[in-house]
Amino acid sequence: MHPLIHAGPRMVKAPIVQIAGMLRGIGRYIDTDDWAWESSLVGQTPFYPPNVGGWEAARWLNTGTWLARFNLAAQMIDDKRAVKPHAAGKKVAVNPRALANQALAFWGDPTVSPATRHALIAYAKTAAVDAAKAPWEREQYPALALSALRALVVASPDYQTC
Amino acid sequence: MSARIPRSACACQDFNRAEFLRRAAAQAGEGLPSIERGMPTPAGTGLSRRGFLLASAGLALSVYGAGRVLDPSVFEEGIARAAASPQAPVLVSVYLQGGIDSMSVLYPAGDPLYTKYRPVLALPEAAGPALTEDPRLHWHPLAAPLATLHGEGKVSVIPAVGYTGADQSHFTSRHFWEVGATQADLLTGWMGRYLDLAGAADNPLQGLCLDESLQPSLATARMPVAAIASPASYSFYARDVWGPPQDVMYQYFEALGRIGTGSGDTAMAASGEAALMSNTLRRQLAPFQPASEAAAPALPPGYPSSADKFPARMAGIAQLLAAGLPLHCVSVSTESVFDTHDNQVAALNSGLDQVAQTLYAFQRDLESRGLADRVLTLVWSEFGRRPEENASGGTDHGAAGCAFVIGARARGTMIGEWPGLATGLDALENVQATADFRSVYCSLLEQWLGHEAAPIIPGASGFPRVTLVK
Repeated sequence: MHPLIHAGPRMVKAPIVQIAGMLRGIGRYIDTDDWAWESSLVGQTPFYPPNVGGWEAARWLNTGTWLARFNLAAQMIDDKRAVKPHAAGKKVAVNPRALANQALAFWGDPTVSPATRHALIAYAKTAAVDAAKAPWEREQYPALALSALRALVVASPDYQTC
Repeated sequence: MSARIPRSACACQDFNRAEFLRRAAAQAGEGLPSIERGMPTPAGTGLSRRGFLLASAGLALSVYGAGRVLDPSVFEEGIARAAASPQAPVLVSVYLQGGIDSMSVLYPAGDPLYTKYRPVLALPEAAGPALTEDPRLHWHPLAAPLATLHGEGKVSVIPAVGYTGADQSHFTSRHFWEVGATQADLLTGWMGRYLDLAGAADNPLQGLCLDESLQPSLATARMPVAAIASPASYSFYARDVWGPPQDVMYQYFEALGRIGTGSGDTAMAASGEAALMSNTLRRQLAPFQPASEAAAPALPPGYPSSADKFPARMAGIAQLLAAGLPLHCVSVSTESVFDTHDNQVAALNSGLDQVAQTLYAFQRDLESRGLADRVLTLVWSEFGRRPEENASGGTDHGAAGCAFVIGARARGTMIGEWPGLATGLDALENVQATADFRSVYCSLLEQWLGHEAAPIIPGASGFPRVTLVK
């Protein structure tokens, strides 16, 4: 591909682009037409722009569409990809850095800035380590934290833009 | 995700377990796992469930049966269009969970067999006012608000309603009432089938359930219907996380937001800005979220204050109607559980007190808003309980129970009759029905909703019609 394709300022991902990227990242591809609905909630009805001018790239994000964008992950993570605390076993890390890496790996290792990576690790430390006092908490919180990290990754400004 | 799961100390194990599993399974539109041999699959099992924020009213709905609809803005337009059309009559179905003891709601005070069957639980003759239409029956003292409405001609009492061949199963009986037929394999609700014929493809508020999941009686095959746990929900949902890790996750919205706004990049700043604004809104709305322990908005006068959501949900119906939203069939269930196998007095009294006060307040609320002529309320339970009390201060599953049709346009005359304890019991010594629930449904469909019952209630021609509307 011509290098200039990747040049230029970042843009907020259009809803369809974000959804397609997330699905591709987890290897799920298209197995339902629910995404047309979900994309509408995030602000882009496929094949139905607001007018002949098309969609405005600068107007994707408001409190309603950001909410819908955040909730996409929950729709996308089906039961077989979900992290169940009771069944997690050895598949969930306990170390905060490893947990952050696992969450990023889930989405296909998108590039994130050092600041965002740092925030993800800080979350993992607070939620999976510091908050876990009782033995059952130490056992389950890493799995819960991993589920939360997956949602935080795709809610990060890094992931929402390209 | 739901704040409280109704779990009653006195209810039978099957009931409690089913309610717990119903709440958990409802998130995925799945049916109940098998709890009892031969139990029917609840209507609506497998219906697709999609979240939808009705921007015009700030309502977070779960829409069921959206089918081929790919663009939710269709519903914004459909609801607006329906709201602008002449307002349809509204049928509210109130389900009293667990099989309420109808023989306490209306107790056969004068019957000598009453105290013989209920040495411990029998209420004194003078405890509650007599039912004017049949003085053998007295209203439970805590049902006095209903007696008042009855005195105003606004309550049609159905003292012994059910069907022949009841098997005393919560699941089976509830299912039959929900699907409007004694068929275990029907997957659509009776009101759902009505909406499939008379409803609109773009108005999910036409069948509205005020609960976390869809009431099976509203389950359709084709038309969209909706459930709403409480209005104005702004909920961020990440699956499989709860407790402290979830709380901390919300705190990190702010962190991510600041990374964006501080990045020096325009697009990332826009994303960060949106994150910060959304987080602010989330915190502002948190006190009004359904799961919050913080104070809920005050109810209109008359509604009892309560730890559970039933009064707020009934008040919510009046509010939604007053706001002009195009509701048509509405379903609410009590959170109180009336499956009073033991220590009946405490559970029945507190539940009945709340229900009676709420239904009374709802009627007054509608009247003060000028809506009373448009709304009819059916109150039902899956069965009544045995005349003979058990050894634990409670009663067990019976057959015929009581039901009520309440409203300014209710005819206000009794349907069927109280058969009496001497000759009115079946071979198992349960009360025999003198009105079939399907007669009630056929009559409501034809007289109130204005639709032929035959395509909706199997065997409709075999059920006598009763006059429910004036």
